[in-house]
Amino acid sequence: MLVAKNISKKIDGREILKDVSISLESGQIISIIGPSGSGKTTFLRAISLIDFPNFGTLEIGEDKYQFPIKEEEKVKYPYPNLTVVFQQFFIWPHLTIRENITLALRGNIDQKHFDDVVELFQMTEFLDRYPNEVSLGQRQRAALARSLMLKPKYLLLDEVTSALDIEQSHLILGHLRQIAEKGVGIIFISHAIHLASKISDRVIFLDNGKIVEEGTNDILKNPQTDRLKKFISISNQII
Amino acid sequence: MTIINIIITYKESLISGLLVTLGLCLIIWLSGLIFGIIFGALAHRQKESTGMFLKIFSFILASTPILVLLFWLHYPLQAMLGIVVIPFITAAFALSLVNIIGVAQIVRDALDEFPTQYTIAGKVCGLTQKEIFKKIQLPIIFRQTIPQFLTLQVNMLQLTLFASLISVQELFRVAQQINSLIYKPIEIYTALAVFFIAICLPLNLLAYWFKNKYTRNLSEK
Repeated sequence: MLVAKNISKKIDGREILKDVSISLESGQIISIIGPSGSGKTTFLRAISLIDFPNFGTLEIGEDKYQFPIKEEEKVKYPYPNLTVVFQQFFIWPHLTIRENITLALRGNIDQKHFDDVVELFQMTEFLDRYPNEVSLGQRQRAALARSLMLKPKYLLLDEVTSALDIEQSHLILGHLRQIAEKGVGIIFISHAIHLASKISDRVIFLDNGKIVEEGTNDILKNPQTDRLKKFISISNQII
Repeated sequence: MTIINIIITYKESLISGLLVTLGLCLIIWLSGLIFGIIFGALAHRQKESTGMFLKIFSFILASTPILVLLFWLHYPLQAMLGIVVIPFITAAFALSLVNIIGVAQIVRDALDEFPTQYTIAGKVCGLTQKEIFKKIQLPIIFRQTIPQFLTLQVNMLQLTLFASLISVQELFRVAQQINSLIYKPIEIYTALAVFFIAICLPLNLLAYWFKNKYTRNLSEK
């Protein structure tokens, strides 16, 4: 289980996150939605220990973290049990797609798992190409495959569909559901409500660094706060 | 006298000049490679101190013609200090300085501009700092910098010609001396051009090949 309590983060004196708490179980998909600048990515970076939060506590499986961290160099990082896929995928440009998705395995490749992941993301045809020789959608799939090859327990996804078209986004979402069914806890960060509503077990609406509303998918149909109502209304107009 | 006849007749002088040019080049290249990388890495890590020093120094060097630097180090500086240094050492020092600063700038820029997200991606995949450096940072930086590095080294080889102006007995000076004896400028300087093309062209082509093969777009666009 991943439990974050009262996570707060200041950047340049400005409070970006204010007491954000979340609890993610195995096999669960939580979507964090909100407008640009609401603190979604900062929250993801905080709970994945890329940028330490200023205050709060975090439990990732057996590992517990109390912030502020006193001795950064002694921190035991939760990777690759917890891993992250970024909005810009950061597929290493000097390696082929195959090398990208197997690099962190240090040669200990579970061939069946590799074949399953390659099949899941339909990657056979471009496995031996370099990142600059494949499409954006293929790079996206490679980034997800790279993280799944590590057999993570928690997968944090930051706007991973933002650069994809509707068809590719739905393909990825279908894959996410399959991944969650295998017991992986997923946090899916997005500003796209229609995508979040399709795959989430829980939805959290973040605005100005605070949780404004949270609950099951129903909150997207029957929002209780004016802020979420407005956000949904604007989103619907755009779609 | 044909080019071949000139080469055969003056082979000992030419070989001696060639060895001086190659020796000078070797010193310049090696010092640039070793101290340039160290200096560049330090400038990246210590932006306020070493980095600022590199910036100021490179601005001064970029505004000073090589010839002026060579003459200044060879005549007024030695007179001021009351020392006599052989021209070869002065030339090696001046040109090494230029190369070290050039390499340091290439290294510093590559490190400064390296997308940190690639290292973060490695970190969240469970790679250690050592593995990230060896398998991600180093190969990417090598591929990005090697074309610039080779081009700079070709320029440095060409700059060794200036050493002749402070009486270093390198290839160009030997060619000048032979020409003063037999006055065959077309043949002598053509032979000299062929020599430099024979070394510089493959290096330039190699830089071009590296650039096309390895310099990938890091922006992910």
